[in-house]
Amino acid sequence: MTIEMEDARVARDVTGKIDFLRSSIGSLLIGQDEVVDQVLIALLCRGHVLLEGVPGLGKTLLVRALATCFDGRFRRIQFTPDLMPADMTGHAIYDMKEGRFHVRKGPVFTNLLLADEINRSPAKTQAALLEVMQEHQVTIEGKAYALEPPFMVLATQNPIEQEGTYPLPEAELDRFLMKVFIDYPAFDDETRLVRQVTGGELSMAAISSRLNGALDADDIQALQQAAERVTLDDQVLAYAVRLVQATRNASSILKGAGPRASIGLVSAAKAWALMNGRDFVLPDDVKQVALPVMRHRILLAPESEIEGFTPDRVLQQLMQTVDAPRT
Amino acid sequence: MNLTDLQIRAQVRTPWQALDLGVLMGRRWFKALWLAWLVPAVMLFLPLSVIFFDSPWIVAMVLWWLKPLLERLPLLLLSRFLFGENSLRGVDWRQLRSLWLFDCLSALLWRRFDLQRSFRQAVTVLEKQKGRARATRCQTLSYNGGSEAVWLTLVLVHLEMLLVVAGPVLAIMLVGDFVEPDWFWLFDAEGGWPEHVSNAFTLLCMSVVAPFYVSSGFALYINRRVELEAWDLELLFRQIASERKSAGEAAAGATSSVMMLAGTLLLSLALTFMPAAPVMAANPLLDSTPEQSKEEVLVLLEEPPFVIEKEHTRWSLKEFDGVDKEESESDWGSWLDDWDFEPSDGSGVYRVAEVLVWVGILALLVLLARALMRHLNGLEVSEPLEPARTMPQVVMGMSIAADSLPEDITAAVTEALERGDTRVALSLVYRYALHRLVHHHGVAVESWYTELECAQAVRAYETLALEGLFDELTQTWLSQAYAHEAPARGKVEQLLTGLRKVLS
Repeated sequence: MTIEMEDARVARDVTGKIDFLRSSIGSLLIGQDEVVDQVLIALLCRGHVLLEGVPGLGKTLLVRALATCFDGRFRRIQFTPDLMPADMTGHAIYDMKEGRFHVRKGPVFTNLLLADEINRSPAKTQAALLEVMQEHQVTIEGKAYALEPPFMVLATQNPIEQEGTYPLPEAELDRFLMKVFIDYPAFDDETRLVRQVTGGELSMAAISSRLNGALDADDIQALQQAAERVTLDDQVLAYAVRLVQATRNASSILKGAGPRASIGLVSAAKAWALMNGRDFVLPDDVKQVALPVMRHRILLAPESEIEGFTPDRVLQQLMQTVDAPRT
Repeated sequence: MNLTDLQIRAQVRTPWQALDLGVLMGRRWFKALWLAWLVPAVMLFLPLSVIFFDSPWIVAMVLWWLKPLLERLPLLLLSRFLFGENSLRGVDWRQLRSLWLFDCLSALLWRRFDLQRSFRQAVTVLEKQKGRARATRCQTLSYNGGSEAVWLTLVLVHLEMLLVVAGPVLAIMLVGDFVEPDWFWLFDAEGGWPEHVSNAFTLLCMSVVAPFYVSSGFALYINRRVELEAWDLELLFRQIASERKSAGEAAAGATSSVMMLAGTLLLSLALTFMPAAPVMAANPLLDSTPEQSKEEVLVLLEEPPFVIEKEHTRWSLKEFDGVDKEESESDWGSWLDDWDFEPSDGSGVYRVAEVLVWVGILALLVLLARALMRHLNGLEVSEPLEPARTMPQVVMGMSIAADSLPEDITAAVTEALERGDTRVALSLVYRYALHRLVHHHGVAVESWYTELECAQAVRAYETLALEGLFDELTQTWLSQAYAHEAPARGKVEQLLTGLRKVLS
């Protein structure tokens, strides 16, 4: 659907870095180009991602590859029913010899945090992530500790095996910029994947030696700033807000998306425009990111659910009722 | 059959009360009746399943077809239970064979679909009647209770189907949503174990319903016999007779003269005050001829309490009971007046339900007929017609209707460029191009399409030789609209000229 733009509107080094990230992660996570793009959008917007998919589709590999690409730190927390907030954020320990408290920082002090099966922990533990995700800081014993940028949470949840899980509260869901569905790869992709893995071409060690040092955390922050500088026409901004507001008036939706969705939609559209080598946003960019940004922020009316509608289907229908920008 | 051993109170009941009694009887002797049905059925089921292992549907069909025979043993058992015999003592193998074989051909062929089977079964099994005698007997019995027997069959058939369906549904519900096996393999599997298990479950469901079916039908039959043969009166007379006999024996057994005197006096007194005594002792009818008796009876019947005379001073609704019944039946409009909606046995409710069911069926048939007609009409009308597609007048908020565009597009664009308003000029070119594409070249564009979606839709029409001009226009327009970068004047003019040529 895209049309090649005549002139390179974005600085060549920015597009080069984005292409490097895309191709590097894509070479590891075969057949999941859309997922890679959406995760990169979230990274460029300083957002967080909720990944939904059955186990074994490379969610951990994705985060690891992303961390390797910019030499960032990567931590993984396996959420369990007995996980406590302090297990994630850290805590103060009293040192008997020195007679004072030492702060022991938890695994959230990292660049990329993989919260695996986040819905296996009760709400108390999930809520401990709220401050981390929104403020990019952790408070231990009354003192706030800032996290080093870039910081990104990639939480995963399993669409099946819902026994003994705790659905994420609305406030927590709203903190995620995007909800990304990761599905099984197509036949050709899976064939390629199997060939490469069994041939030893796709080992993490070999790839990390190739990728290490190519980018650093500062480069990622530069990309994030470049995404913020993308031009946004008032008409496109109004279009994005109208789209979000339409979710609040639709009869098929019980609870529409909030203002955080509008912010997320515009930020994601800017990042997507940047990833496509443009320094301005098109209505198509907004449309392109509307589903992953809004699908977890709306609550369908019971009658819509009974009729078998999914949030994606409702949102697609809704987009067809909202006028594109008026010029 | 000794009436004095009857385990139920002999009284005339309405058919619905008789059905209730039948259900109670079924509950009381359920185990014995259930086994009497199930054991022969299982003895049939097992060899049949082995023989027709590859075609289990045959097993189910045969068992279902043999239901009239399988119900005979429970019926025999029930008839014994009802008269106080709690076993099948005295019944040998030969009698059992005769029980199953007697009139079995007609029971399994032309009478298989008799909806009053439960009611009429006793005539065959217990009274051992067949042919014309059976038909006459059934006709007599069916006068009161026949329609209730039909309802019994209908209700229990549905109950049985409900049970058969409820088993798999319960299993599915217990398995839950998280396992999603392909349930349809149960229906697709031909000759496999699932179908045999299904047969066994169906057999179990039939065996649970059968005792109640048999006992309810038998209760209707017994009720009709009580009514026809006046068992209640006979039992009452027998009771009176036994009481009198015991009283007589007590009197005769006295030995002393004083006791004899007292007994005689008491007996005389008793005979004096008992209602039957004067009738028996001093009834003049006993001495008269039959003709005289008849005349006296007729005279008696002309007097109260057999004839009640009342004076009515105003008009009231005619009662249709009794002699006027035939007249009322001929008047179809007044059938509702004949109804007693609140009889004591609740049968009025069933009659209302029956009418409602018929009304519902008729309404359903009318609706189906209408839907069918509409469908047929719709096919006739819609088949030759192409689905009408409405051309959008507005795309992305820009009007592309003919009347919104200037007549001389070149002049309008030039004028805008002269003014230095490149955005308006380019907007005119873009709208003109879309207008031509949608309204003259039939490109399918929806009103909610964005610029890139429009470009994609246009590219899908390979017959249009646009030489990439529309893509170029889209790109220029996007830069103008959203990046606020105005193109050179020459480019706008070049695009307009090129597009006018290819879209003319």
